[in-house]
Amino acid sequence: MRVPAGLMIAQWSLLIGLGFLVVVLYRQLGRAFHRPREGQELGPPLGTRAASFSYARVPDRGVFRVSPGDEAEPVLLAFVDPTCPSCERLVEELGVAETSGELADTRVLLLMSDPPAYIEISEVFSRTTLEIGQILEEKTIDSYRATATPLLVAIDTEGTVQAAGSAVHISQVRAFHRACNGPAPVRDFSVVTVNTDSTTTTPADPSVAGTN
Amino acid sequence: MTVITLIAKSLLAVVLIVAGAAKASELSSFTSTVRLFLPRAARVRTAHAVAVAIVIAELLLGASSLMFPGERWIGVIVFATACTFVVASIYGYLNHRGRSCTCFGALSSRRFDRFAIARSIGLAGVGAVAMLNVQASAVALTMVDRLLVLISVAIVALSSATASRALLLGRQVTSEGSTP
Repeated sequence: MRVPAGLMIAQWSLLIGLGFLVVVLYRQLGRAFHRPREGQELGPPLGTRAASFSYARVPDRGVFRVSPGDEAEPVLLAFVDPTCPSCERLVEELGVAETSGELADTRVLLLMSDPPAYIEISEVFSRTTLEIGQILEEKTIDSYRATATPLLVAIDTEGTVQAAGSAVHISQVRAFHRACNGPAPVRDFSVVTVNTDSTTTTPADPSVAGTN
Repeated sequence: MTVITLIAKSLLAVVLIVAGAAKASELSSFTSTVRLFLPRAARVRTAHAVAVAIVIAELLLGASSLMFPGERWIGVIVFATACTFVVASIYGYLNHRGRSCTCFGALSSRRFDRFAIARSIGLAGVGAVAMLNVQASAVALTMVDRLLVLISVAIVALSSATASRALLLGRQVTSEGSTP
């Protein structure tokens, strides 16, 4: 039986495509068994002094400087972008906590690197009453190790980083808020997994996070 | 020449299938990218609908291009789609340089840059070759042949979605906007 060239080439192409995808999957499986390298960790090291930084407030473009430790109240810094669905969820939850008065004793600042015009893309960012600032210096991203978004950083009144990592649920926002006011640094707030759609973040220390 | 045309046709079709399925597995990120191309006033629901339409179109085009390789009009649509990619990559480069294009979901972290433009032009070139006529005997597929191709397409699409999902879950954080 003679096989048409069209069928043979189509099947070979699909087989090669499938082979490529299997390699991708196995590569990912290999990565899953290795811890991230030091340079790939998210957020500043816990217990260290949070870096000072400048930002341009959106939309008025006024430039302000934040010096953790000199602030009268703890600070919750959220590194978020309007084009990131998980960030929208975090902003939504922060807004809920702010409205309910839970964060009354804490300064909440949303820091974004996207152009200010991008805020219009996101309904959540457009309607939030939380303060939004655009990062002005690249070193801010480096010093907070904001290698990905969303990143939430809890800083106490002494300017010490008490918690850092990804967060999207209200329970996590509350845990970060508690960490801001807590006497001892949270041991480990690193992220295990995050899913863009259902965004399931599992902080490493269940005694601190995941509690309502 | 028939073999080259068929290879070009198959290559482009597989790219469309892999890209479509990977996008489908990470639709929210792709919706965010689509929002960059729509008027600011456009609602999220609109962007989502456009994103879904693009994903379906890519999967349908890829599958039909493989199942009906003799149909020239499908080749023309595939070429037009590849030209759209060129326009999108140029627009992305001019307006959203450096942002992730999520063209292949989480499978790739390609961004809107010069390389993306060159890549899409390359794809359009492949699409142009894929439009050429082929010998009728080389594309005389029976219904059983087409069913076989369809099953293979489904397996590749499923694998692509799974691989994209695995990459996404394995990452510490999300890919979109990952470099503030």
